[in-house]
Amino acid sequence: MNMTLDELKARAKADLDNAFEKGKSQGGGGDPKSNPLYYMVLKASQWEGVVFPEGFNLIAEFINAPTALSSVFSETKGVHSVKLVCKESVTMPFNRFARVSEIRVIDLTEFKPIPTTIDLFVYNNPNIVSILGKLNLSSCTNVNNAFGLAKALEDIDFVENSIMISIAFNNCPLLTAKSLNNIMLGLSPAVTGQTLTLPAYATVKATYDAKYGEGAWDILAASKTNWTMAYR
Amino acid sequence: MKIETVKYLWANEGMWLTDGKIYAKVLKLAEGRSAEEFHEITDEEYNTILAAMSAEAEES
Repeated sequence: MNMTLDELKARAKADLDNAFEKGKSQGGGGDPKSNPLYYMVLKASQWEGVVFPEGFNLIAEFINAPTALSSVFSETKGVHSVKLVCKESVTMPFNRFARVSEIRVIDLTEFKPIPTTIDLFVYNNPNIVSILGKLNLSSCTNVNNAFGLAKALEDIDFVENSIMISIAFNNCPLLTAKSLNNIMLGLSPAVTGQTLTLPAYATVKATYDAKYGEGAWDILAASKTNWTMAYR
Repeated sequence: MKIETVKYLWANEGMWLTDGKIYAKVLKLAEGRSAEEFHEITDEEYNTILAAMSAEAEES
């Protein structure tokens, strides 16, 4: 469904008990291409399927910590970036968040969620380039297809040693050397039987060694003795 | 001095390595796993499996 900015504001207002008006009074609102600040309590599926004005940049600050952010921007159009702000660290579902959307940047630098699931997180989003901030997967039990078909993904980071289950980036050939390093540092040394799936070996090695030195990738891979690595 | 080496399994041209769950052109095995756990399948067989997995993900 196509929504105008006024309709989006109206939805926010109706859903959020005048929270939008509060945000507007504190300087938010206005031209969506000028980073409007919306104080809102995002909830699961809130904007699913909505067509935003083109190039929309959204900042959502949580007054109260969300309980679930599943599918919030799933199948949306028009959203360029999403920044989430919350002072509390929240354990909650975060799956399908930007699945099949056009979002290019997800900024979690001021939000530290502890997802219980991130399956289909940015699945089939061919525009996502950067996921900023450290994802903490220490409580995550489902990462199925979280980054599937996210072929433009370059930037990602994880809390060290927080990746506890098999995870795949085989559709992400543009991961930077820093991101590859972040993924490897994210692998837990305390698990067994898990697999990290990556793009082609030649691609990964060339990217990583170009920054960290010839042979650096093989040395780092060798150190992760408890993880199987599958290169597509 | 500590020397670490890494062993890779490489699929033959036009083939994929699999144990039924993992699919790869190249594998670095975790400690405790052996090459004997894996066998090769053709590109065509892999693409058929991949199409089925993709359809399942799309339906999610």
